[in-house]
Parts: sequence; C-alpha cells; structure tokens
Amino acid sequence: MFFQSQDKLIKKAQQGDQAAWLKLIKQHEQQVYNHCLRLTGDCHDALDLMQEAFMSVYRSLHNFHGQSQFKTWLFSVTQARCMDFFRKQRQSSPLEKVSEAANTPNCPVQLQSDNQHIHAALQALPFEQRQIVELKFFQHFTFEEIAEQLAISPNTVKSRLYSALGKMKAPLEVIRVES
Amino acid sequence: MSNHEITAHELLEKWLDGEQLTEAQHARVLADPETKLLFEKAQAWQNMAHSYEEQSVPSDTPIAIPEIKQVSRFQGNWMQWGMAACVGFLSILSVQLWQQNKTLEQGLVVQQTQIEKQQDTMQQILQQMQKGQNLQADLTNQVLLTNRAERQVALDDLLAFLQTQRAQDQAILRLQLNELAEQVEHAPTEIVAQNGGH
Repeated sequence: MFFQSQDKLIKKAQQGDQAAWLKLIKQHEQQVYNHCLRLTGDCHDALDLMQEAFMSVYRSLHNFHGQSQFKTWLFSVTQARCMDFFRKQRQSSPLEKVSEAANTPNCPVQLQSDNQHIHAALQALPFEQRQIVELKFFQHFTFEEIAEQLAISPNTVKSRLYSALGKMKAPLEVIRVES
Repeated sequence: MSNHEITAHELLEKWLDGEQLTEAQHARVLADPETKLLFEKAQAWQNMAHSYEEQSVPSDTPIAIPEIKQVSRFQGNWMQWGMAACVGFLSILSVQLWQQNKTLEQGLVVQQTQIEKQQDTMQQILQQMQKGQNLQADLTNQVLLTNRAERQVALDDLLAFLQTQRAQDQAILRLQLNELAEQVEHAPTEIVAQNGGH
C-alpha cells in the first residue's frame, strides 16, 4: 500500500480523494516548479505558476480520461498558464520585472552558478523558443508531444527549436569553455 | 537501404526525438555542416540539461492546498449529491414508468376481455338471427308444401265431383233414353206410321 500506480492515484483524485491528489502533486511538483523556474527565471513567479497550474489541473481533472500521458497533459496545462503569465508580463513594464527578479531574497537559483548560466541562456531566448528548448532538452518530450501540448504543428516546433539553437550560440560556447 | 533515403536533417530530428543513431547515421549527420552545427548545439543543450541541478520546491512558501481541498470537498460533495439526485430521479422515473405500464397493461386486459365479451354476444345474436332465418325458411317451406297439398286435394275433389256429375248426367240421359225407348215401343202404330211418314 506504500506504492500506488499513477492511474490509481488519478482515479482516486477524480473521485475526490484529497490524499491521492496530494500524492499526485508531490510526484510532479518538483518537475513543474523547475519547468516554471526555467521559463520565468524567478522562483516566486515559478511558485505562483506552479500553483495556478495545479489548480487548473484539479479543476479539469474530470476531463482527463488517459488519452495521453498524465505528464503530457499536466505540462500542456502548465504551458497554458505560462503563456497567460507571459502575455500579462508583456503588457507590464519589463524593466520593473527584471529588477524584481534580481532582488529575490530566498531564491535558491541564485546560489548555483551552473544553473545561473543556464537560466541566463534561457532568458536570452524569446518565450516561444524558450518553451521549446525547455520541453525538448529538459523534459525530453518528442516533437509530436510538444506540438500537442502547445497546439501547434510539429514543423513549427522544429523551426522554433532550430531558431533557438541558432540564437544560443554565444551562451553555449561560454558554458562549454567553462566546463 | 532505407537509411540512404533519409536525409541528415531527418536523422538529426530522429536523434532529437530520443532515437539512437548508428555510427554510420551519426557520421552522416556530422558530414553535413548545417546539421553538424545543430547537432553540436543540441548536444551542448543536452549536457546543460543533464548538469542542471533540480531545485526543490521551497517548503516555507505556502502552496494553496487548503484552497484546493475546499474546492475538492465542494466538488466531491456536489458530484456525490448530483449523482445521488440523478439516481433517485431515475429510480422514481423508472418506478413511475413501471406503474404506468402496469395500469396500461391492466386497462388493456380489461378492454380485451370486454371486446371478447362483446364478440361473444355478437356471435350469439348472429346465431340467433341465423336460427330465426332458418325457422322462417322452414315455415315458408311448410306453408308452400301445405298450400301445394291443399291445392292438390281441391283439384282431386273437383275432378271427382266433375266425374260424379258427369256420371250422374250420363245416368239421367240413359234413363231418359230408356223412357223414350219405352214410350216408343208402347206407342200406337198410326203414330209410329205418321211419324214414319213425315
């Protein structure tokens, strides 16, 4: 009884079992949090986004019938929340946002230099390309799965990835030299 | 053979989708300068992703699980009540339908028996009418027969009467002739001669 399959947990959570829902959150929260963290570069925004994503997932949990993997579905919901977040962020002043991110006191990302480089490289990309790089190299989704999550064609995914790879030339070289 | 048809770009895409490349395929990807560059960058990204230290979720930051709990309790209760209401409604509906069916069945049975009774009475009436008609037919036959018989008897009587009349007439005529004969025989000769002379 210590281990329960994800399908059982999902079914139980769908039936209103709070413990099962909390277990599901625990299983995926780190992945979702790091995903949001790499996309936003800010731990507070990442936490907010993670929470919003889990809330959305819970609200629409009854719509999940196992047609895709739970992780794929969870990330598609998270992507939608991230896109909303960046849409709102574009409307607000970017300078204000940068200064907020730089002064985050309890952000553990700041403590690790390797991670900082990666974050810097990611933040240098436009959001659409950053999303693809994140889903491809950090979450290891296939082109088809990414296309499904973002509701775009696989060819668009590929072209965005290649554009991102082209733009990432300078930061990558820096990291490679350092390593 | 099919490997020759796949371009270096497609091989790169396969590799990016997690497929293992053979050494020949790997060489083909590296042979093309454009795909080689993309491959190296992608590989560098993979290494970076591998070296990335996953951050643990800050435990001191409260996550809105109580809110989720409330939502879940509400939704769970709502769903349960909704399901219970649906089940109750459906069961009441089915009982009502069953009762309606039963009353309809009973009504149909009553109507059927009434129709059967009516059919029986109609048949009885028809049989009686048939009997009456048969009786009438018998009566007319009998009347005709008696008429015929009576007529026959009357004719026979008439014939008998006529025969007796005729016989009587003949007898009277015979008597008269006999009287005349006797008168002739006993009459004087002069009268006979006179009569003979005329």
